[in-house]
Amino acid sequence: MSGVWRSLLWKEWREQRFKLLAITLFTATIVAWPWLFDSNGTLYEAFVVIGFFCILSLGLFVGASLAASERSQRTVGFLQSLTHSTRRTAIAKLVMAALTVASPGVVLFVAVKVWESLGYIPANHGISAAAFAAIAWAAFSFAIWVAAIAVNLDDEVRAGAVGFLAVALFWGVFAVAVDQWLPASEELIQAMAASGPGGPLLISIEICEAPQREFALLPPRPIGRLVVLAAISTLAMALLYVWHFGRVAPAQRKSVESTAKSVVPAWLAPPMRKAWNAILWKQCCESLPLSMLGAGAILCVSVFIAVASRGDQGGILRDGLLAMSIPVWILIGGLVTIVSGIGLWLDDLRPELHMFWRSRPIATGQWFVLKFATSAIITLATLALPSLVIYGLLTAFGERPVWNLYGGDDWRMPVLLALISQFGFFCVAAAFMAATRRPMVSALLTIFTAAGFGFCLLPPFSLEATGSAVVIAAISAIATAAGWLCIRNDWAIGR
Amino acid sequence: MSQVSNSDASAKFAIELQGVCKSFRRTQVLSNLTMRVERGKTFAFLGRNGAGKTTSIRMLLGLLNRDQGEVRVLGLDPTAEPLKVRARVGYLAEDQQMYGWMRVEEIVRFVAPFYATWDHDLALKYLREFELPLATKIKHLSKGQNVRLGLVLALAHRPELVILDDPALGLDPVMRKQFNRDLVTHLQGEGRTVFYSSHLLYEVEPVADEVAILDGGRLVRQADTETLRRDVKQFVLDRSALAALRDDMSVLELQRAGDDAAVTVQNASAVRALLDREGIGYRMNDLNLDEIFAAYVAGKVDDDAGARAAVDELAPQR
Amino acid sequence: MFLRIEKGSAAPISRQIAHQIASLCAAGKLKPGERLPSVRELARDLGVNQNTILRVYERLSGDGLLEMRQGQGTFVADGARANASPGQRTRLLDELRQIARQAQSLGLSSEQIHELLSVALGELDEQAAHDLAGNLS
Repeated sequence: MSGVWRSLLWKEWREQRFKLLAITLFTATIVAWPWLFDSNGTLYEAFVVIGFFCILSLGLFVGASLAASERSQRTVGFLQSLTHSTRRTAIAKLVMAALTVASPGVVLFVAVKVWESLGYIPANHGISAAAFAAIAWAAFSFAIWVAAIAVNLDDEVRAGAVGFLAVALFWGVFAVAVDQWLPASEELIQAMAASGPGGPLLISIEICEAPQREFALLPPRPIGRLVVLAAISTLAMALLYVWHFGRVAPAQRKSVESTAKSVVPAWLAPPMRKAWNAILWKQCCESLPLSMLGAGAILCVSVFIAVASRGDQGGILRDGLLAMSIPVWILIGGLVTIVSGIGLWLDDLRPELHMFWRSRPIATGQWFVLKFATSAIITLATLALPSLVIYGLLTAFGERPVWNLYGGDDWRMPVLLALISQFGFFCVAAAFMAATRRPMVSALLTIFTAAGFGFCLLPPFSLEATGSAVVIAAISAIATAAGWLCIRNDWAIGR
Repeated sequence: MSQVSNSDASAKFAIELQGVCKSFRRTQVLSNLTMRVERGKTFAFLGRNGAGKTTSIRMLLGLLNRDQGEVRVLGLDPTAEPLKVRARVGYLAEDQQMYGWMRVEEIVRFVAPFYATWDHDLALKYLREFELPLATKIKHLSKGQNVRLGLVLALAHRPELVILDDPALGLDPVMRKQFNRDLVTHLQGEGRTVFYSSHLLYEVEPVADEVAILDGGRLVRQADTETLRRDVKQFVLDRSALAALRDDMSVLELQRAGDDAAVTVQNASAVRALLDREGIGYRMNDLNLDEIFAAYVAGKVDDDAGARAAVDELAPQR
Repeated sequence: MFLRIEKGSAAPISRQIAHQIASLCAAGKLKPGERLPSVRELARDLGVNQNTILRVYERLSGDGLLEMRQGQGTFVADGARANASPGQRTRLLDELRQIARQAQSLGLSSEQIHELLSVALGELDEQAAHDLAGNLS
């Protein structure tokens, strides 16, 4: 290995090692938890749920970090000035990202094997090595799609948002395609799914289902083709990423603008009247675009799915649409609130901007409360908007009463829980951001917290809806208080 | 100290530091810093990178807490009443960035309501004089425009005291000259107290009333520029003569070449009188501010260890 | 009035400005009664502290070169040319002393130094004659 490669990998290792360590430790904790409480009955389900959440979010955040971390650290110029190509840096980044996303899979796999040997889990009940590899690959595939699409964006939050939107769009289009072609061409659909972001998940499912198919005397599906397709798509995205990484001219746009003849101002609009007015305005400008993007994504995905399933439903504007939009809202909304919580402090805690507002006669308490409340309200309200609109449309024009599906009041609790958990995501992400001042680390810590909470729903705790709401509210309150302390006293970990 | 003399002091001095110490973990950044800045003066705060300039300035604004000592800004303690201090001080941070997504006009209107004394017409006047494009986003401004916008935001509330942390950093020579002009017309012309840090001494000299030189967290000299030039001179004389006079000289820097020794002292008139009285031949060189600064902050090693060693080495030749 | 500030010079700014105004007076380029830029204007033009300019004006007024009239501005004093001469003379003497010391350290005798000065003066005369001839033709 040449010196350049060694030093590039060393840099990535130094930057990522704590992330890697945290993810590995987290997974190990998950694995140890059911063992401690001797509740292996629910182990398999826990793996599936947490595993899926981790793959999606891990892929997203690692991808965002791949795409934008050098831009947000303002180090692209330095990388460009080095004698070797920025493509080598990109490859080193990919290697490290692969390690990061693979680590949970490796830990889980080892744990499962250990348990099998100890007799906690019946042998062969667990998942094969190939399936684990495919799951890790799926996470990497998510990451590389996000990275390739969002490469060279200004910061991680933007990259995450754009990447996520693109991935959501892909699967939305996919849903429509399924609707169009499914009975006729299953092969085509499978090929499309395998080559999409997170496509290797399909391979993993096929591997897991193979014994069952055998049991049902169905002919085994060939997965070789899927592997090839998924490999091609991953490779293509990797090439796209490596090709474009660092290919930006930071100064170009700037010089164009500043050479434009400056117009001597003749009139200046009056100042904003009150301090709270100004803070409110600023926070709206910062929070609205992201929330609108999230709401747009929720609406698009719900409508896509509704369009896709209109045959079963007998029309688009049915309660099926609402039934779809709520889970979509819960899933996408959860991710967007994390990003929004991080975004609450992302700009204001950048070293150079931090001093700008700190050095003004701005009361920190007012700043914190207004920002926090405005951003939380805007984010939660905007994200809930698509479902509300759909609900309104259904009550006005729908053919059946909308609560048919959920039966009476049953739908209220999930919605309330979803709202409060989104608020929880927001609070926890904002608190971690205030404490660590590093977006990707905060995102991961928030996901860990959420997954940790997820275990409270399982035995031995088995929290019910009300209990969950109380626990989430408590976590949010603690997180907000901690965030406030960090902001007020200008504390940060590792500074 | 009685209450009366306290208020007298705050009426006379815009900034007072008394025995201020500050450490970050184990690194001592400021040690026993004592300094006073008279109202209405332009005060340049000089030091090498890492000498503690930015730390001191952040302390003046209550952005950092001191470990020891007293700080008074316009008679107020910035730790106890940071908002009051910040409302009356105009501050431009080192390499200050502003919210890139805001337009010039938007940031001016955004910052305005935080200051009770904000003068929107004055802001517009500055914006015009600085030829800042109102509708341009801040991320698209050039570096010089960025500094000027920061200056508008620091001045439009008519602060009594203006604190500028290395404003000339990153400006090209033409812009630096323009900046000095702005400083002279807009700040000195209106009788404000200006406290600014820099490491470009030849830019500082024409503008500053007084300079303070900070080195390793200590104040090594505070004086007006003319006094500094009068007091700090270089004498070239015979090495053997130097050894005898060493104790009466306040040596900043010592260089040797052959039989000659070039010694920079900070009590030039006394040394000159002494040399004349003793009848020792010498040549006296005027120094520019850069050389004076270098003698204080870089020649120091020679003074403490090197110079003494050098003198000791000379001693046997006597 | 053109003034030039040399930044980073060993001569303090105030001395540079004072010398230049004094030589302009001595050379008759600034005529008695002529109005000088205000302290504020000159400070802005040169990018120099107003107090420095004020000090220079005050010092030159003290030397009888300038006259500061309350509320009207600063003017060149009546006897400026005459008053500037002694100062200029002292300065010239200083510079000559400097040169003489250099010459001595090169080992030149005082006759040789005089001789060099005569050569320099001769060259200047020649130059003047040449210019005159050029103008006539």
